[in-house]
Amino acid sequence: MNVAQHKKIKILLIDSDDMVRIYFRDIFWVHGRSDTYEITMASSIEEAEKKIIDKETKPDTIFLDVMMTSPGGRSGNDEQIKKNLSFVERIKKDKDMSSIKIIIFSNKKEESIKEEASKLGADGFLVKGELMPKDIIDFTDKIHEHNN
Amino acid sequence: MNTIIKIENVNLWYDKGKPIEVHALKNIDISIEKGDYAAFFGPSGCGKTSMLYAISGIDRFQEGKVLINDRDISGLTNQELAIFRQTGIGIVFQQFNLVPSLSVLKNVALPMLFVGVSSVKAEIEAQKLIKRLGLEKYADRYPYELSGGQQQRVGIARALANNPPIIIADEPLGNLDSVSAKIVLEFLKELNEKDGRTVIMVTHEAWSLRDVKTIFYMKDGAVTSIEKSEKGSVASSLSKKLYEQLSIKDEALGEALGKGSQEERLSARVLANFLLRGYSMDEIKRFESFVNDRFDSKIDNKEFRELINKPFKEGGVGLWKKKAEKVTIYLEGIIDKRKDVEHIFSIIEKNPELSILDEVAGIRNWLIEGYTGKLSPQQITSFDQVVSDRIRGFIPANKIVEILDLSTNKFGVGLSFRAAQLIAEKLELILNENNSESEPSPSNTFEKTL
Repeated sequence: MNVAQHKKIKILLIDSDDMVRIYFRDIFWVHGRSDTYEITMASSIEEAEKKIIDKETKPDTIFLDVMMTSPGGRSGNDEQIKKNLSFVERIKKDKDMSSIKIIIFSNKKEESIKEEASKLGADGFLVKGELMPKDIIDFTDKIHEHNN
Repeated sequence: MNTIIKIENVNLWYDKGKPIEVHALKNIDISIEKGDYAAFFGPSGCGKTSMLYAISGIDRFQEGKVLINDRDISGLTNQELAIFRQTGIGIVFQQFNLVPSLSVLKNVALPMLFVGVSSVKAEIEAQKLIKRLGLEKYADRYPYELSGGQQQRVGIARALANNPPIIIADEPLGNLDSVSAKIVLEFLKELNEKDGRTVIMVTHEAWSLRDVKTIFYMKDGAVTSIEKSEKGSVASSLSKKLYEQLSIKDEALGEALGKGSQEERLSARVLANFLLRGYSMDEIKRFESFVNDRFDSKIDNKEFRELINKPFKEGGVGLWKKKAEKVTIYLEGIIDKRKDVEHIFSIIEKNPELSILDEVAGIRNWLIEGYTGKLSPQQITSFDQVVSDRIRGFIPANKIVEILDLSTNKFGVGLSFRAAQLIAEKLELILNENNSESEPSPSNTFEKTL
């Protein structure tokens, strides 16, 4: 079932792991959902910001790896997580951007991070290792039900 | 219905431009609809398996396109192909291809780990699949403890691991008895009808087309005709005459090749797949042809070693020098010991009552070469007896690993499972030519243990 018949829903995945980016994007393709979703990818917050401000590539929903490393940084350290979470805050405080859904998509499952992300306005929290490939599509369908 | 797989003018050659060139797929131009249950049907060597390899991105074809959901997979990078194979398609193999050192549960969970699912979650999901296939009580068993039918059900569970929309089954019934084959056919039907998955089967057996909705008839690398129908009616409408014709062609091919050379080809393929695991299809095919040349004495061991060491671009296989040496020694051992086995067979033929234990002792050292433990006198006696009984056909090929692995107080030989498996593989390779009457086929058993 297509969530939207005419306009594709734009999803932006921000993840520094290239295998995860390919995996996430191609799950939608192999399950025949490319007519519903347009998946774009960014390997850093900086790259993502360029896509967000461009009207053509502005996403409806962002999946963000909160553990993501920025170039030269170390994965999963507190400073890195804080920086990635501040991106959530920036989007949610910007009136032109706040409608973009942000799903935290990472391997971190500590409640404190989940709470923090939620406080900043994140719309969902997914733990990569707990998801089967198809679960990602089912979740994405669910959060876009109203677009139907 | 939507097209899920579109194959446009695909041509695939192995060893293109070389004297041993094979044009495996010729101008293939077909579509498979989402939710179809399709079969590629034809005699051995018609290109059926090459077709599956092209669809699943295992073989890179030189011309044409294979579109999956409108995307051409010939342009995918290796990383993209790897992910496609892990999530887009589930493959069920004739030889099961289970990892012998992993339990049933872990075999099924393995593809999930490859895509980043945590081991805890993977085992929970694997358990569900095992239950679906009716294998709950075998979850902690190892593949060698299961029958062929049970192993194939594990193979199906593993193919379903990442919930792929396409299931590909390569001669899935080839190693099964009729009861197990029927169960597997029921599962394939269920995956198509209940789950809505697209199922594609390769087969040369007409009876296995029972539930198929589309048949692609293949011959000499080309699709010669397509038959589409509603469930069940295709198989029943399949002309008996056609099947008989195909069977006759199979037999005729066997006669043309000569029985011996056919078996040699088979063992060359088994060897190639075993020794060159992880190499490309082109490298394996070329290696196989050199093994055949060596079996036929067209080349000597020195030439063989040089050929497999020579870079691929220069017509060789490109094995490292040390690997080439090791492989050559391994192959020469097989050739040499096959002569010993021929001698043993001639003794039995003249006088079936005569003991062959002395002759068996002569091949024992080669069989246990590389075994790091030390065999006790009791183990040696049991070992020779097991090998002798196998040569005489008293023990079927599929029981050898079990007996070698069984503890000595239970009348086994008491070897580790891995050692038992390697020794059984070597034994079947040297018996390959000589005991074609035995059941099941030795070469199949060897492949099962890979």
